[in-house]
Amino acid sequence: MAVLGIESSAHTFGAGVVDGGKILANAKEMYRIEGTGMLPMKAADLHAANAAKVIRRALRQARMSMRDITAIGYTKGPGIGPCLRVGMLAAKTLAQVHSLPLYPVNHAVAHIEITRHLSGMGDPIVLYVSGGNSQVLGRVEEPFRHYNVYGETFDIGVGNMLDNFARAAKLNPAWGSSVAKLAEGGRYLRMPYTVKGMDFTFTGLLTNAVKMLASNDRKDVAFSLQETAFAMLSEATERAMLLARKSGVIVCGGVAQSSRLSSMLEAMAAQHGERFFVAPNEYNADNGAMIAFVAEQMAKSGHAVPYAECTVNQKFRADTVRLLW
Amino acid sequence: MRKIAEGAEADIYEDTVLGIAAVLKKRRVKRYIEPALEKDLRLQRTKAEARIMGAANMMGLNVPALLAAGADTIFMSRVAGKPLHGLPRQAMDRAMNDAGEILGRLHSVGIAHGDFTPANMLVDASGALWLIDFGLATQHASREDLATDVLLLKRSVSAREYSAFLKSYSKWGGSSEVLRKLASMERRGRYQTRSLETR
Repeated sequence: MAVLGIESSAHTFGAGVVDGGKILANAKEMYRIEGTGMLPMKAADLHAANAAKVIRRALRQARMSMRDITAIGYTKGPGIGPCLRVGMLAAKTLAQVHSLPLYPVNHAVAHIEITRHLSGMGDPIVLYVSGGNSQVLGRVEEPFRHYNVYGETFDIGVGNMLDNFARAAKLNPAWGSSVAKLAEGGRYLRMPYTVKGMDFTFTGLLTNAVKMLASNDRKDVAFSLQETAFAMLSEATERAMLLARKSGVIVCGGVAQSSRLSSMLEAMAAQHGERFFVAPNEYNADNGAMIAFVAEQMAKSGHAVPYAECTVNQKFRADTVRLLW
Repeated sequence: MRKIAEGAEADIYEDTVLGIAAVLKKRRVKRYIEPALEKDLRLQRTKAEARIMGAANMMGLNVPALLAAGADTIFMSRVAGKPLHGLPRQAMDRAMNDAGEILGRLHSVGIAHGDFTPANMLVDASGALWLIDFGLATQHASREDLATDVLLLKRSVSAREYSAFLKSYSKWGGSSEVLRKLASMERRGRYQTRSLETR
């Protein structure tokens, strides 16, 4: 069973092919962010222009044609409406033309499941961190099998927080990896630390860090911001792991590309004698292969969703998805 | 001194101090956090816990007595009691009634417990409830912090037990404000009743 997966929830249009859990292709084109951040309509236009090209590239990588594909998955949400709609329409059109079953996939579940698959772990605690999302999750069997959200941000995602700070500090490009670079060799300055149980907030920390830029070395502010934010996430993950008695720690999503976050989580896991896993960056960035991977799981264990019910949902929560595998 | 438990945040030891059965709680060093930040957190949290336990002692509540506190360690009296798990129905109702009274009194002076679940409650030989572990407690708590205590209990006990708790908790005058806040929190994203989106 060869499955085509299409991802377009934010700045990346991706297409991947998976066959029997094996990733055969993972092609993508990205909207480049210039200064102001991302303009949703411009990103959607770019996705529309790139869609056919990226899908063709994925098929070529997999050495297949559409005739070899047996099912199609696409990202239903969460994400940016205009962007999501481009991927959904591409998937729906191909499915109807080739009479293939269609599977709407939750973006967060896709990040988690591809990472869990690559890690070989059964039931780990999961930290899912990206621009718009920051959640601690784990599998729960009741009232149906799903990912329970043990804790999450009460305001913005950690990725957005780092991007915002990067813009305030006039870094180019204005995103998290520039903050990480600036933070090298910085000293710790005291910042607000807000973890309530297993939930956390980032706006107070951001406001404070931006204000501190005026009277401190930028390097020290960047270092302290990163250390504080990642410690908050690691502590929430630690508490959830102990409470839910999970074994192993995995991290996924765009911010999982941060080597400092990974090293912190790895040290946390080691202190409890637990394993830690982070996937190669190709899968932490948005990609089509993870969508194809989950669509294949859905195809093996459930029913396809009628075309008319294949919509997008900008606020599609991971904890509303029943896992049939 | 004998280690009796490893909590999420601290190691718990048992000892006798001046003839009193005591518990020593030592916060564990989290080696994964930036050392200066980690030390800040550990000292702040220990100080807050000791201060709040002391305040609860002064109010005469059924909580461990604060014996001494150091930089990252707290000595407290050991509560002779057993967990709530498996209590018969009537004893459980009594315990939940006590829990409502203790929480109402803590909330009346602005203290939120921070981890108000049956796992942090013990019942003594006379059937009275004791509340332990102030490790996540806050003073000058916001209404949201107070409502979080109630929410946490609501999610971890049965409907009957929760109503036994509410009966005594509601006797505190400020409780209606907290319960209103709780209702608004339950309408928020993460506390919504979960529905099936896909099959």
